[in-house]
Amino acid sequence: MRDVAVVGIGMNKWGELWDKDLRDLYVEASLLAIEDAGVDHIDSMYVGCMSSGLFNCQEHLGSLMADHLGLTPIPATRIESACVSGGIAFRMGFMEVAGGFSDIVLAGGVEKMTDVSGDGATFALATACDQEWEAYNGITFPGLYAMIARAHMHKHGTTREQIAMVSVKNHKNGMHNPNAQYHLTPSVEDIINSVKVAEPLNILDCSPITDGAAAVILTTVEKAKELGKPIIRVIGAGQASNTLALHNRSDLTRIQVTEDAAKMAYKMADKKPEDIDFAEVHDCFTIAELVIMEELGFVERGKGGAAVEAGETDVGGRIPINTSGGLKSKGHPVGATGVAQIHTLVEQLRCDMGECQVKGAKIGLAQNMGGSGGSATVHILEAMS
Amino acid sequence: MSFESVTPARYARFMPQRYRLEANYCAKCDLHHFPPRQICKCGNKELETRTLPDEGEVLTYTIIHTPGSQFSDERPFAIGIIELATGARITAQIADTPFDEIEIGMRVKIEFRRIQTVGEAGVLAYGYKVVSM
Ligand SMILES: [Zn+2]
Repeated sequence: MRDVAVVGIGMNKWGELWDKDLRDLYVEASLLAIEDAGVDHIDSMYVGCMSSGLFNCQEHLGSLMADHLGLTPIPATRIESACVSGGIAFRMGFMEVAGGFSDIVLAGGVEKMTDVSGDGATFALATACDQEWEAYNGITFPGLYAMIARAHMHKHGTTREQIAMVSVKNHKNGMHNPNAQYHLTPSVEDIINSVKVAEPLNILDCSPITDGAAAVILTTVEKAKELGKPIIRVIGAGQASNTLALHNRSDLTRIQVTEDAAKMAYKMADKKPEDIDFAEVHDCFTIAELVIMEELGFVERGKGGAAVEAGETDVGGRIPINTSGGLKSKGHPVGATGVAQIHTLVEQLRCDMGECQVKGAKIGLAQNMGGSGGSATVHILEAMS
Repeated sequence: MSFESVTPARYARFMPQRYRLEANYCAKCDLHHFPPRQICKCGNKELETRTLPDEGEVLTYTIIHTPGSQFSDERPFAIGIIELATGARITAQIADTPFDEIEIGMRVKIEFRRIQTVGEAGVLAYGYKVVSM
């Protein structure tokens, strides 16, 4: 297996981008990544996207994007695994370079979600849960995470305030991210008093509907040295699957798929949770971040709420989480999210994060997840000196 | 343009489950599979058809305020995860029960109810809900 590095990153400003099409978004982010890497060609490319069929009535994205990037006839592959489509696109790019099949790979993700109504978006996203046995009976995604929240509060004594503090922290970080969709600073009270979505979760506990894309360039460490770029090496890569239906998981306070993906990544990297300097995690809903912290081994099981309350996950804390603003503030164009997390890891490891820079950051972790925890990836990146 | 997740053939296919909770059972694992599976995680393919009990316990729940459009007329409504037998859990609406009386551990009974109204024609789709005992 060859050593692999991320040598280029690109991302556009996220939000409700009515003047931009699905392909505009992907091409824009990819061109930024190609320019940042300074490469003169691409051998192969991946497009992470959850539901362009329902959002935009457009499938067949691999070739569509290759065409509009002027890259045909290279292999171009679309990856779908709900909200972890981007994370898996990155993993595929990593494996293709590591395995020696290609030297330079573009891994990008995109979702254009505002071409449909709010109801239409809810319908499209609900296809990531078990259509016949969950969605048919009226559950929604906020509803699934609300049920995890209720179980976590019941079993571990997690408080409503602690859950809201995730949103407060992520919005605070997002204020410094020019690409973020929302620049707001809600208080715990604002969140607890915001519009009810699925009790106990409110609108300010939920990540928004977003248009956006992100892209990165992967190559060998050898080639990265030739390019004269800071060497940000991919040292761990994990992926796991679990039941689509939340009700089929034995412990409803957990998101087991994250622990399974993390075990694989930690083992490959030969690292432990204590070795990680900072992380970007999939806070599609506030409660998710608390549970993920526990699954990644950053805190004891049931102690996620207390750790956030104590400021352990703030930028200056013991294990800073979502210094980009997370899905909550940055936005959540579902297929792009996993790649945008890698974008942030690289910015941190290049010491380019400005106000949200984690001092002395050498090793970062990205956790991306599909559905209510039916699929996940975990990647660990290290800055080589 | 719209997509519909309930069509006649698809609806008819699941009647044994939605109308009478037909599951299958792995004797090796003492686990019920709902809906029925072709193979248990242990590798056993000799699974026995069984009807699930019509009573169970609420494991967790939420009150939905922003449902999909098929459920707009019902909002707000309660929905939870209910355990009926070893391994057999369902996600089902908790009907006819004041929200503040719902709690984890509450005993509930299955009832056959209208679940959603489908498409422009307003076709009624049926299935299971639960009510407090
Ligand atoms: Zn079995």
